[in-house]
Amino acid sequence: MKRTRFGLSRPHALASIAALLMAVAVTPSVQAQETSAWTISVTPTSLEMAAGETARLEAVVRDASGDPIDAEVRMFAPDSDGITVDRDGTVKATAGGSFRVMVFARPPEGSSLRSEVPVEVAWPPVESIEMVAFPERLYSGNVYRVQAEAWTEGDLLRTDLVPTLRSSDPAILSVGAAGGLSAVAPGSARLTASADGFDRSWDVEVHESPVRSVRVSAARTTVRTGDVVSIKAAALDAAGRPVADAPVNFSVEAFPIDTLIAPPSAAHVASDGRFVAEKPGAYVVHASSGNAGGSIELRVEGREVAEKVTLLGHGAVSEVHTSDLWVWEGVDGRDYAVTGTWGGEGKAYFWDVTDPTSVVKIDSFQVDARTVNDVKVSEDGRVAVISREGASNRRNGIVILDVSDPHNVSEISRYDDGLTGGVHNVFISDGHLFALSAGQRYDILDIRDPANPTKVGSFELDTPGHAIHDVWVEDGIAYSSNWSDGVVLVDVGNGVAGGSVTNPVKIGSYAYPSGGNHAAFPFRSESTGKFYVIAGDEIMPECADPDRPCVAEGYLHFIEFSDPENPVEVARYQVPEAGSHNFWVEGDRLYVGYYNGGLRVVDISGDLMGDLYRQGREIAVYRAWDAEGFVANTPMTWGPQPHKGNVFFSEFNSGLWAVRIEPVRELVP
Amino acid sequence: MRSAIHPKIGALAAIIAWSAVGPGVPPVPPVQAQQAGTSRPPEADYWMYVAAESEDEVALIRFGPEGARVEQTIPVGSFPTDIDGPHGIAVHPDGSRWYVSIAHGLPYGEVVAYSTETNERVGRVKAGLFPATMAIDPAGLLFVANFNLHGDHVPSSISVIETGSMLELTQIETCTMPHGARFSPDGTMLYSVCMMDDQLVEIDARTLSVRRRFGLAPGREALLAGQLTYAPEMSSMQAAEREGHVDARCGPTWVEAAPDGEVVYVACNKNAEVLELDLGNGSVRRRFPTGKGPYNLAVSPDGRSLVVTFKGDQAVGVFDLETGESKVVSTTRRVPHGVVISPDSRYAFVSVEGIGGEPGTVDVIDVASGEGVARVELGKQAGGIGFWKITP
Repeated sequence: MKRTRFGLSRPHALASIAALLMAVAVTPSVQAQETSAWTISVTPTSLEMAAGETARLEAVVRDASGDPIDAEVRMFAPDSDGITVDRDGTVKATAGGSFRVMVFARPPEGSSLRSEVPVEVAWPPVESIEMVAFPERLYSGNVYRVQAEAWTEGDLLRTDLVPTLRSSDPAILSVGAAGGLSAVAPGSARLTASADGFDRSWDVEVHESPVRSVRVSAARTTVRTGDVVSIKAAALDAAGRPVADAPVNFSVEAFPIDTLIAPPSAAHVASDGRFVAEKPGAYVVHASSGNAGGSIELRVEGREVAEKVTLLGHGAVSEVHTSDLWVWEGVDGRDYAVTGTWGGEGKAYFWDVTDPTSVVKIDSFQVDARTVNDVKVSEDGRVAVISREGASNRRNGIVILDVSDPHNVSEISRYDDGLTGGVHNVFISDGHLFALSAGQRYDILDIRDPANPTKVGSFELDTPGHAIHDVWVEDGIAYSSNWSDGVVLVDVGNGVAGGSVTNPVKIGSYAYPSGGNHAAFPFRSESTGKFYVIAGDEIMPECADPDRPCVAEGYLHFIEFSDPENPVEVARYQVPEAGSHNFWVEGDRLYVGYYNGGLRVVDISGDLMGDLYRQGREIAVYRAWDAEGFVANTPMTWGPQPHKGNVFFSEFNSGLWAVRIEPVRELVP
Repeated sequence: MRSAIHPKIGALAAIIAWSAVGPGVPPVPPVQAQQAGTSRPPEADYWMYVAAESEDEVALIRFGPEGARVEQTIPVGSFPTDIDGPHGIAVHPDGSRWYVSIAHGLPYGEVVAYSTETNERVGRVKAGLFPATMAIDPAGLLFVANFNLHGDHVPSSISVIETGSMLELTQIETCTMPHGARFSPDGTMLYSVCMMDDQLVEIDARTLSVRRRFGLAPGREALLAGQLTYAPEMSSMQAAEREGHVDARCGPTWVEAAPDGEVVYVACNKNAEVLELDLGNGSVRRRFPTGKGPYNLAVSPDGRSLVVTFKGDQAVGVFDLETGESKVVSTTRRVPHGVVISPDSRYAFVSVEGIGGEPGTVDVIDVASGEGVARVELGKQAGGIGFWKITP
């Protein structure tokens, strides 16, 4: 936006700008809103100012006679990213753009009075342009990505403006359509960046590239889809010595298998040379530096990991929604499962799943709640904890159960101190219970004596408006899922950061833009040894009614957390037109409850890069259709758990299911 | 397969005689709808919105000559696999919109506006922690008590929302666990009480600031002169704890002004009484003993009757404000919650939560006779209730 000035001297520093309070009445008329006999007028009726400046609005409320009256007036700036307004009407602009101030008043009677003042904020003039990460030495034959930033008087970064670049001699240095700098030939050129009428120039020298060859290699040249291959490229001079400051650019040429008609984008090579293919075929990775280059051909075969899914059993729950599950080996050596219920009458169901082809409901336990969202069982199989939401006395909390005989489940104790707001998720680790409290923190209870649970610690973020959805504990580290605050790692006994259950200490965190972090699962890759945390979304904008089919959204984010201080999101698993929920990793397999996408089993062996869904890594997909379901024929997979070679999963609309996933048998002729 | 009593069956929930109760529910008086005792059938239709907190639904209820029925069920909330908890209901004075407070958020709750014409969402705004009771003034300012039911015992606030733009203008700090929000008859003052501080707060709706505070500790009810901002030492609960009288608490959960504007009625949830508090000096004019856990109350527009829900007693008290006499009416299910009285002072509509998987209900009580005349089932944990209109 072009800055418009109104006869005011322009301050030369932000501090002096902020100190200037100016009245910028643009038009003498007043904008008035009349409701009944009362009116409100605001002066000026509009504002035009520059970022960094302040102005004042005056509002007057008048009675039917036109006489000013004493009435409370409030002003608000709904678009707070560019302006603020104080109670006294002082408007401060912090960024350019079109904004508004809403003015409200309450007369002694009648409706409230409202007026809206448009505020146009111009950026102060640009006074400098800076290049970010500009290479010290340009070699001919290369394209460089550069970034220019425009700064205004008062040290404001023009977030709305990307400076344009031009070269005095495109035969030496040219500017690409997307702003890349192409070092065409040795020589000198003047590079000029322009923004909002301000120019800054640099004399740039393009040097003859000393690179005469690029040696390209890879540890493997025959791989499968999804395998990450690190392509090494060394830029060498005439003597065969590496040129350290010479850039290497990678590109890939794809020749997918000829049965793939009209193929999609089939492979990707990152700027550091990591290559991954989504489709089988032949690929040539080119590496260039200056006018020299080298290539390597890769053969990519189909991953061929698909396995056969066999339905073993189904424990139907058709009168109410089903929530989470836990499967465990009981103290008698048999296998059991517990499932919660959602939006019902506070029941948890217990199942004998020793024979997964015959899932038998053996007991139930009811608490005063509408939803038992989470269920967990201790490592020794003797104690279960179920969460309560919607208790009629509004105290919620958790209930600890004796499940040493799952046929006769009994209550040991209940605990709600500090947990009255509802416990959405819990986790049991080493005699301690981690219980979410009202979606704001997790409390840590010592349940080694389950009859007398005792709070020993708590962890809560200190970010503005923080919220938490889930927590999972492994090796003394709690991995919590915190919506817009992402995944947070806390030492609750591991010792890596000196933390304990009584003194939880934050280790690190990773947040991503969608703000939909709902679940987390840590794992160390069996095949690579790398440590990851999978952060799962829960995003459901199109699902207004739990009693109707819907299409959820969201996906799984793979974050390499080997260095807790520098986590890197390296891959995703994103099923189109479905949404992720709970998940589990065992070995190098990922099991996902993907809501309307059903149960998904994914091969996560090897390095991870790109979208795993598109790389042929899916081992199995199973959608649980149930004509007798609470919502009929509507798969909505809540969460999975592998157990003794089978996979159990809970379905929101139909209860507990068991499947076996096994390799497809080869026919022997 | 659904339960046969699931509210979305719709037609099945339409007209239910007062005596028809669900399994496990104590029997109710054997009266027929609109036929019992001295009650005469209604000549008009009465419309209201009722929130079902554990169903994430709001039901549009119609009661008239044909009985009580659910006209429409409106799903509310943002996360279909979480309980978002619709709590309070308010209807705009011009009847064009209704508002529901959604208690659970990330972490803040919100207020959502719906058109009464279409029952479709037309606006939303974030409020404070666990927004609950709401009241809207003739000017269209919506006051929302941020109950913060489950948070630390720290002062919370009343959010003020300009409904034309659905902007939160400000949050007025009151005290700990504010609940109940009702206007003075002239609409200039808002009254709200705080459960954990035994306090009544009077807010000037024009200046959007606290005007007066009243202490409600049993036996020490008084105007807290000169106390405009919250101070922990004002908390009678904390004082009682200091003095070892933790049982001597009012625990106020609701307040409503009498039509003359001289007194307010306060439900003391903890010690089973309703206070008639003189707004001039904060003294108690009368005390009405109640059933266990008086929770919400409503004064009839003609000023003759006071109806109080007894949350702990599965009953409602109907008080004659002239004589002080009362009649106890059993509700059809446990945990009665909210109550509104029709503008013609004829009927009280009581929301009843139920327990666990029981459906919520709205019980209709003839105020004059103190008799239940109809009921209708809706989603689980019926709570907030807002009267909309009377149609011929």
